[in-house]
Amino acid sequence: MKADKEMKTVMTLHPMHCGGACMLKLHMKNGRVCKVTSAGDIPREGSYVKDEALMPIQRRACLLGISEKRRIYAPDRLKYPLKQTLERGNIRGFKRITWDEALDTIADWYREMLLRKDDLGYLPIWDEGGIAPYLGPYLGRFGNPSSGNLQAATFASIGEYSKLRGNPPMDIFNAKYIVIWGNDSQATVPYLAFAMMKAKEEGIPITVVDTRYTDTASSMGTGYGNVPRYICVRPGTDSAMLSAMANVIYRKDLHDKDFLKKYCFGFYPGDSVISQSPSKHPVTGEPYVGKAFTVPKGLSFVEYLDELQEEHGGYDGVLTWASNLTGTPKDVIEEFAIQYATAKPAFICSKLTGPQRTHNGMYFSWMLIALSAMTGNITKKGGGFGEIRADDGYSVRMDPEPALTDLEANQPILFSIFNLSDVMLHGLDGRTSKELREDVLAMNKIDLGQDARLKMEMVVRGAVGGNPFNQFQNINKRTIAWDKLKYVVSYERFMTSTAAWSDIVLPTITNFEESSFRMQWVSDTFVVNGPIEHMYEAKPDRWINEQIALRLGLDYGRKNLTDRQIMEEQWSKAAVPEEYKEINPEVKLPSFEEILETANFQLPVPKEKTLIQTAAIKPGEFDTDTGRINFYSPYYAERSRMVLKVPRAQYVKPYEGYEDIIKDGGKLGAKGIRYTLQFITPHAAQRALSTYGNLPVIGEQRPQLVEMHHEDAVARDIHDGDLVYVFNDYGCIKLPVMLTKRILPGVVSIAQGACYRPSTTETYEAWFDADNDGKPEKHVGPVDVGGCTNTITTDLNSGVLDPFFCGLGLNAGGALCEISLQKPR
Amino acid sequence: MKQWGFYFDQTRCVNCKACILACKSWNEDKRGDAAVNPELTWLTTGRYEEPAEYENLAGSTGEQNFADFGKYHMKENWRRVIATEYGDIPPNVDVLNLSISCNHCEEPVCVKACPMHYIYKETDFGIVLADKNKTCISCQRCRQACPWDSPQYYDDNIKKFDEYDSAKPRMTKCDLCIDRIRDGLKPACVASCPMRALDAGPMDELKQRYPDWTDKVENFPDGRIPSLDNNTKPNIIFKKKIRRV
Repeated sequence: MKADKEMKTVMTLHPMHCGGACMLKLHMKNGRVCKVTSAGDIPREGSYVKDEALMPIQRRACLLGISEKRRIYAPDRLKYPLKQTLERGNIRGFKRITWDEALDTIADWYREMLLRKDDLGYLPIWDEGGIAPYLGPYLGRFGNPSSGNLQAATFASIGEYSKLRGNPPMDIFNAKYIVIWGNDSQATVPYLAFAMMKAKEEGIPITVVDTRYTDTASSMGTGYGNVPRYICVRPGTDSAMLSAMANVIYRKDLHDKDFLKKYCFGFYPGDSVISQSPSKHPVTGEPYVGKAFTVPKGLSFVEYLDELQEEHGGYDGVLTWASNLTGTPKDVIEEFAIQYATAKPAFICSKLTGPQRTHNGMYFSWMLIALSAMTGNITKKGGGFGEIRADDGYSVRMDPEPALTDLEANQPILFSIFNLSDVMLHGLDGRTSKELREDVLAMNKIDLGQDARLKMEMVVRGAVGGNPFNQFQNINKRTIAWDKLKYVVSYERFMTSTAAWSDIVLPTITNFEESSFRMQWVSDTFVVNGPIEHMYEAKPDRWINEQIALRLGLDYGRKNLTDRQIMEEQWSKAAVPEEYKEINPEVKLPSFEEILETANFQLPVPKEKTLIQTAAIKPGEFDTDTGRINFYSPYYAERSRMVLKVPRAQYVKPYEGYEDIIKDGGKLGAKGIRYTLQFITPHAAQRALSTYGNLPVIGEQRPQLVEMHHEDAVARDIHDGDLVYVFNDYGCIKLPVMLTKRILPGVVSIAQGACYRPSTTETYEAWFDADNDGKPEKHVGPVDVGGCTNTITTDLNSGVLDPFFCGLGLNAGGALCEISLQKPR
Repeated sequence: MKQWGFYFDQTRCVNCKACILACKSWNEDKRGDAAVNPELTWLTTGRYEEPAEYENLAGSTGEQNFADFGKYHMKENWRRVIATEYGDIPPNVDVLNLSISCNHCEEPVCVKACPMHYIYKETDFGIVLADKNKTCISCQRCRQACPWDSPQYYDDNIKKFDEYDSAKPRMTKCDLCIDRIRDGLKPACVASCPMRALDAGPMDELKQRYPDWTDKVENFPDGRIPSLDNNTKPNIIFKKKIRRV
């Protein structure tokens, strides 16, 4: 047997929203993808050095990329436009319609909304990838589920996350000690896992902090001195551990006093500064430079540490408190703090991680920054502020693709995505009507009047708009809220939950059916080489928008340029940035033909020359209000929009969590049931958010299930593989259980991203507030047999509810539930 | 002949399962139910039989869809990753991962167990192969004999198939991607591993490249077959992870 000689190979980026940036090698025949391999598929002879290299690195794909063929040719790909003829959510009701019928109908809906605009002053359309931005002010979301809480922390303390993204991956090789905090990069960023493994093999000590004993914990953790290889922290309590560590560092005099004085604000009581900040007030636009700031009495970080000691009985009492909350022994916390502070530099790698996606997640990220500032690590090579960035920091300069229109996009009226259902139901997103009115007046120059509320009547979701029906909290409330919508349009590839709850579903092509340049998080230049023809009746998003725009008389579209013409034009002006030539003067840009063939061009940076953005900033010139690294945020205090009210780095109790279990053995819900287990909802390797959940080839290897410790199972008479009910006030999921030693007793884990699927036979009585009277009431709805974590999450905001910057985050971990073998009422 | 085999670095494996999916992606057309599934004919004829239209599937439940759609991929697990947990409660736990396919033994017990001479040891690389020109009677003696589950069937419930049913599952197994290695490439699993924990090649070359190799790790059943008073001599070497609890 020999390989098929007629098979031709095409290299392409696997463009996915997971956090990875991987190469695929498509083996093509007759215009079809027959087999898929990745960047490691090179001739065996002499490949060892290339396989092991980091510069350049083979960007090898994960199980999802390798299985792409099964997704492209999946039998359940949407093939033609569909129209719902029964109630939303009932996929039996979808009937095939023509493109013309679909587009005409949608254009009519837009026209109807334009009439509504005359009454309201804006289009009551929530638009994610449609053409509403060119028709008038519309509704748009704010809040970032991946990183909102982290963004809230950086905005308060060091500046916008989009400008400061942490030290690059190669910089971990400059560290004396690496702490991987809540990060299981094999599930989301395969190339990062390989770099970390190399650092371990070079002998750099590593401690992994995580609620679960992930494979990252298992394979990377080495321990350092008396600090163990793995530290297990209960969900939502990470910032308590960090607060206790800060206390140890301060009391043992291990903090960097010069750095704190020169760079920071709000550490010492009564701290004062005249701002030299380059930034402006986000609401008023007034420059901060020259403004005086003083930390109010009692609100400096040192006063917080004093408060902690007073409340918990001194130095040892603080350790006991943190130990009781986190489940980690006192001496481990103490030793961890000392080693972290004395190993100079020490690199904490957290990457948009789980501890940050909790109700108090903003304080977790802020405490990481606080510790990095106390130790001076924040501006050091091999240090950083707790995040690791994905890229090396240098990219080929290239023009963007030509704009699809010269029309100016309108500024959307922003609403909190995490209170989506409330916006649909009552027009408020957690802000008071007065706050909403002020915000919209300031940002959009639209006066919503007394008792301001938003009206959402139509939803247009392009393929770029994610799967919002499924991916935000409290599905049972959303099914009620969704009924309020007049029209829902989805551009989709598969029958996701959002598509199922739409009135018209338009089929879109995959990334293997069109070509473009991409950066994809890392600083490489990538080519998406789409070698296959558009399948079925599927179309690109831009074609759909172009056709609707045509019907509405808008000048919008690509004007007959092909993918190749656009790319050729872009590449003709591409250049290696001058700064990078200092790192590698030999660097040469490949020709257009070469870049199409390799589909990947890297600008690697050796560890000696890593880009440390924070080091380039002069003391006092950070992009914050005070110009300093803030332990206390004057802007947050003034605006008073923090969900948990505290404008300082510290531990803040979340709305529910382990403290309820310590105090009362659990929390008595509105339904009258005591919930005794914390749940977490990590990203899983079997999906990129909700994508790939429909592929049996992956589901067989990594089924959707709830992970539970043997001890908890015995107490509930549950056995491995049983079908169990996971429930709380918000809903009930039925799925198989996997018993494991990898998770703490008292904590269960369900991977996020599985699609909600209502049971046709079983119902559950949920209790939540949908009528906006502040009190939960009873709602009977189906049990979810799809395993969607948002069936049991609650739609509370976290972070900072302020649309003038991005600092609103997802609250998805550490809350309470119960599990039983019998169906709860 | 140079005997080929595998190297597995247990300290690097993170149980991501990319190797399993890479195997399935490359070897899909070699799977047991390829012949009874028209969807795959386009590999050879260039024609793609479009599977059921969405309309017809829309009425079924999710579980049903999952089973329906499952017809199109390779069910056999020529490669498997086994994670063994040790300890009791975190942080006092550890995990050992093991990624194995067929170990292409020196003295393959499956070959001896097969009454139909369906399995043989190929002579260029020492690969244990199923001979497509001979008949497999689905008796499963090879699988029972193998300590590692290497012989695979696309459906384990063989009894439900009639004796003369063309869909009756016949044994298939890892062929070390012989088509690829003849072309100078690495097997699909090795080429895919994001952690570079797998390698394959002539055993003497592997032993030279990885001087701290061992032929035993804790959760790898060895090749001794007590009933046969025999050792199959598997061609796999390891870098061992020391478990810490």
